Amino acid sequence: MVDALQNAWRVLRPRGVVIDARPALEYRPRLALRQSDGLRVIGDILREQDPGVAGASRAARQVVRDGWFRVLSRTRRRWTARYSDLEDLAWLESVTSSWTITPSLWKRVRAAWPRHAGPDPIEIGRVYSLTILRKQARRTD
Amino acid sequence: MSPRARRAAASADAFGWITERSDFDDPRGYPPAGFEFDLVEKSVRLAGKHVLEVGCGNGRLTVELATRARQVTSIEPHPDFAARARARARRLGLRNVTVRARPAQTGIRGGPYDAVLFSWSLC
Repeated sequence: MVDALQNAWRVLRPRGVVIDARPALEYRPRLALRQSDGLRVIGDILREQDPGVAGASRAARQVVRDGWFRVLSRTRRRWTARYSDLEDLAWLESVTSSWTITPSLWKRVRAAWPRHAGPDPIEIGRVYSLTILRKQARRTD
Repeated sequence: MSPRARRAAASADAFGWITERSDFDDPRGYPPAGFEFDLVEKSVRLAGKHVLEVGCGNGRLTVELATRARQVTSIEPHPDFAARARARARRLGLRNVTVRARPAQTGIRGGPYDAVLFSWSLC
C-alpha cells in the first residue's frame, strides 16, 4: 500500500493530490428499522477492524510521516445503506467478514420486524472516510 | 469448513454475482457516486483535471468522475470489470475516459496526473 502511494507520488504533477476514499477505520454500523411510526434503532452490528482498511490507514500515515505527502483534508461522513428483508441482512453478514450480527441482535430485529414493511425497511448507518493528500515537492529524508 | 472460510467463499460468490450484474451499482455496499464526489469537491476542484482512478471496478465512479474532470484514466486489475467499465463509458458517450486492465498497485504509471483517486481500492 505504501508502494502504491509512492507510485502515485511519481506520476503526479507538482502539487497534485491523492484522493483516498474508503470505509472509516473505527465505527459501529447502527441497525435500524423503518416502521409506520418512524425509525426505530435496534442496535449496533459488531465490526472487527478490517485489516485492509487498517493497512491503508497505516500506509497513508507513513507516507505523510516520510514527507511524500501532507494532509490537505480529512473527513468522515455517515451514510445510510438500505436493505429489503432479513434474507438481505443475512447476505450482508455472509459477505462482510468483519461484521457479526449477534444472535441477540437477530432476535431483536425479528421481534421488531414491521407487520406492514415498506420498501427497504432496514437501514444501516455506515461511515465513510475521505483523506486528501497533497504531493510534497521535497521529501524530508 | 471454518466460519471464516465459509464467509470467504460467500464473499467470492458475491463477487461473481456482482460481476454478473454488469453496471448495476449495489447500493447496499457503496454510497452514491454523487455523494463521494460532492465530498471530494469540497477540497479539490476536479474541473479541468486529469485524474488517474485506481481500481475502477465496473466503472461505478468512473462515469460520474468523467462528467466532472477533463480526462479520466482508469486502471482495473480484473479484465472483465475493466471491459465492463470501458463499455459503460462508451455506452454513455464519454470520450474522455480510458480504461486499462492493469494491476491496481504496480499499474500506476504514465501521467503526469493532477490527481490519483483510490476509491475503496487502497484498502
